[in-house]
Amino acid sequence: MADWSKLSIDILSLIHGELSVLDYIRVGAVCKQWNFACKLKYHCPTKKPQSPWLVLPDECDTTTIKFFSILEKKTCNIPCPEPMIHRRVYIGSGHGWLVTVDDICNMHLLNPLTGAQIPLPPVTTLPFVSARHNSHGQIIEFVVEVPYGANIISTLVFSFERMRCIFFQKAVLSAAPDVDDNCLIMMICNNWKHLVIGRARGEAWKCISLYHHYTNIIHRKGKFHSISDTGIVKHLEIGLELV
Amino acid sequence: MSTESKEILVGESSQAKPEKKTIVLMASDGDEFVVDVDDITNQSEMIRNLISDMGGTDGLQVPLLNVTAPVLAKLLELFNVSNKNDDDEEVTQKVKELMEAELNMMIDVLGAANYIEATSFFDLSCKVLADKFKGMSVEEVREFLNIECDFTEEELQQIHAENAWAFD
Repeated sequence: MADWSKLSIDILSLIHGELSVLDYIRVGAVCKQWNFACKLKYHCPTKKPQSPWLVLPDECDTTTIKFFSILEKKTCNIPCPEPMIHRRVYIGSGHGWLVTVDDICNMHLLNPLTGAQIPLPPVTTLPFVSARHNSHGQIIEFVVEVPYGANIISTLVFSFERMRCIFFQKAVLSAAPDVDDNCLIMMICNNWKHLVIGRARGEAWKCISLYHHYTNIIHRKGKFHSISDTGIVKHLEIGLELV
Repeated sequence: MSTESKEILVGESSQAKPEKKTIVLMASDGDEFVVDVDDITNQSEMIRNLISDMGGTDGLQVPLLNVTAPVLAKLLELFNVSNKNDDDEEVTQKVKELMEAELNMMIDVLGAANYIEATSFFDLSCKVLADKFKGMSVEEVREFLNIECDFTEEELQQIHAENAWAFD
């Protein structure tokens, strides 16, 4: 007599791999064998493209992040892994990870399903950003250089809050950082929309080009693509040795 | 059932295109199935590799120790549908029908497809099953597949607590 609870782990994993994240977590509660197959994560669906989830704002609930699954038409309140995460702003997402900026402008990649977090390089490593410190060596505000015309540069002083609202514009990931060690993060930042690149757990951000006014970026099929406010589309291939 | 399938398959391959090469698949209970070489190698990586290792198909008999005659007959029937259609629509429909009508046969067909490395057919079948589970509650999945919950009450509570949001 065939028994679905005794299905071999490799077959089960392949079936489970076809499920959405939500169904995948649920089938782990069917029986012990299925639970075991899920825990091994051989074909975990988070490694494959999923239908998108929207992050919904929720000012009242500070302990969870509220997601809406478009495919399942279902809202999920996923617990925040650490306190204060609800005060972060999200500046991008991809491959199941969010790019977050906290209230003192530290950046992290956050996987809301596993609670895993990976630090990104400090913004003060950018050539046009420096920080002012208090007597204890803590950052109190940022100084950002803004190009005006050919060789004229002016500086702006930003508080944490203004930095968060104005400086960080959009970030995209080239891969899932827990799967691919060469995952790169590209970001549009500064009022003048510079394009910069960095690595998860990396030391520093690097400026990609002196040209600015990038209005949007995406990553698709191994390449970053950018568009400027004059409508110029570029395909950017980033050599790993640059970062 | 197995003898019937054998005759049909032999009839088709020997009458319609007599020049085509065939090999014999032997089910675990000894029944023999004559199959067209192109048809089976189109599906099974294992048999494709075997033929290449043996350097030809002359008089080749492949014993499939884990596959009974009724299961092999069903699998070959589904391969036949798959080979005759360029897209997967027809064979997906047949796998769905099998899943709804004979769930126990489905599990053996899956096992057999995995065993002979019929990768694309196997992936398609997994997808059909997974589609069936989509949106089902844990209880509905257990009921559909006739699985008994073998967790203790505490284990079940812990699994729910780990990802409570998914079980709402």
